Amino acid sequence: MWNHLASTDFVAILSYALPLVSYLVTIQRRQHDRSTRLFFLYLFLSAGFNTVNFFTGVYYINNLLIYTLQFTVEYYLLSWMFMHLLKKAIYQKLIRWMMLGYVALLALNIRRILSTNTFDSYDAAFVGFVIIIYCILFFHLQLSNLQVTFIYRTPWFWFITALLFFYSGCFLIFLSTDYIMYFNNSFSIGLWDLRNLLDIVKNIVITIGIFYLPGKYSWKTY
Amino acid sequence: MEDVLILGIGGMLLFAIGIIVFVLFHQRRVIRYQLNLQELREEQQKQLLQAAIESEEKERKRIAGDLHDEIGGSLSTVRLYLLQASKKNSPEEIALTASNANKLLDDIIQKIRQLSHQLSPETLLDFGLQEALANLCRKISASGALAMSCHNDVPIPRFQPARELATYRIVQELTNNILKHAEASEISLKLSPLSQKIQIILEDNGKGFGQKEFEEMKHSPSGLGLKNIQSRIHILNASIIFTKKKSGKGTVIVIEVPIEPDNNGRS
Repeated sequence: MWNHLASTDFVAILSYALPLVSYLVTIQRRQHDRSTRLFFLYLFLSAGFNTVNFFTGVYYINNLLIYTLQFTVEYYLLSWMFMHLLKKAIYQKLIRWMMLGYVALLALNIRRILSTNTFDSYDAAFVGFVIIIYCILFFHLQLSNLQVTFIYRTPWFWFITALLFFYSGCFLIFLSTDYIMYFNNSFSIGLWDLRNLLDIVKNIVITIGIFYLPGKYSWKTY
Repeated sequence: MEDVLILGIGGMLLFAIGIIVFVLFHQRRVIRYQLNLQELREEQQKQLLQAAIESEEKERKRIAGDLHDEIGGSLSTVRLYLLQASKKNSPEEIALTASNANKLLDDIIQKIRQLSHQLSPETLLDFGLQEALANLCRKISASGALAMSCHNDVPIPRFQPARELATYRIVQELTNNILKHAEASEISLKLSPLSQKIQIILEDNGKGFGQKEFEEMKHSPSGLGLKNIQSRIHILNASIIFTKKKSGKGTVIVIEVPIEPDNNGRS
């Protein structure tokens, strides 16, 4: 039951404890706007989905549909979060269209999604691609309207860096999983290990960002 | 296939790292640029402040000179007349000396009135910018130095006295500059109301002075008057544009001052 992939999956799931515990420990002392709350909800749900996928994987239960559900939930949560971060009207319009576009893609891909033998590579790759675009737009907006002297002292720099790094690395993995899974399973496992490694890096980077979240009473100066 | 995929993933990761590094470096560059810009602005503010102080000092010296040379001198003469009158015995001689002293005192009163008017034009306070500028036109024309025509038939609303005074000073400084440097024989002044602001167009037929020259003079150590104009324009949140006439003979200066209602309800 317990194989090599399961152990890297397990470590990746454990890595979620880093940002989530840090967040929960400091929750009373930090300011939380809606985008921060959405981001941590995304993180909680990601951890949950990965745990479910881990156990279903260990017990050889087909979990391909759960993956599609995970991508959908994560995508909509992140889109909602970016709606709060990218305040420009044109970006908001783009996000709305991309949300509709994902629904259209799901509808077109429904036979593939419902099939228990195929991994939904297209939807996953679409999610990765769109999140990469949002991350670039976020940085573009930050650079065109600088409000802080040191961007790396803001939590969102770290959160978005983590997302950009994770989804950039995973984009081709998601896109090729369905194909590779059937033609070279051992390589596919290797790629999934890489995905787990990127997940761990993502969680470490997010944890760094948590320590830059503004304190509840940070407006007070003594 | 596997190799291509590994290369692709590596490329994507490098792309992500590249973006993050670019963001960090670009942000530092932008911050440095903003700091430089801020320093330049502070330097310009310092220059404007210096110009204002110098101008104030110059004005004080001029008033002190006027008081000492003209009024002080005249008062000394009056004192001398009175001293002479006290030594005279015949009533005719006393009356003549008193009459001389009286004439001199009239002159002194006139000079003090002029000085007071220069410091703060009464017309401006009582009748507003429109009438004060018409008065300025009449005075310059009457001096015979050049012909100045005023076209301000459309009534303009009154606004805060301090802003009216600053606008008046700008026009005064500009006409002074035309008199001193432009070698013009005619000046035309047009005052018209626009929505939420007033527009003043000052035209001359002198040697021409464009926006480029204004910007250069503004930043040069000399050009105190222009620095004062710039300082007042900045305070009024107004705009000033200098254009050389296409014929090459003369300048058109357009000033636009936003109107802000004063506390007495004047718009």
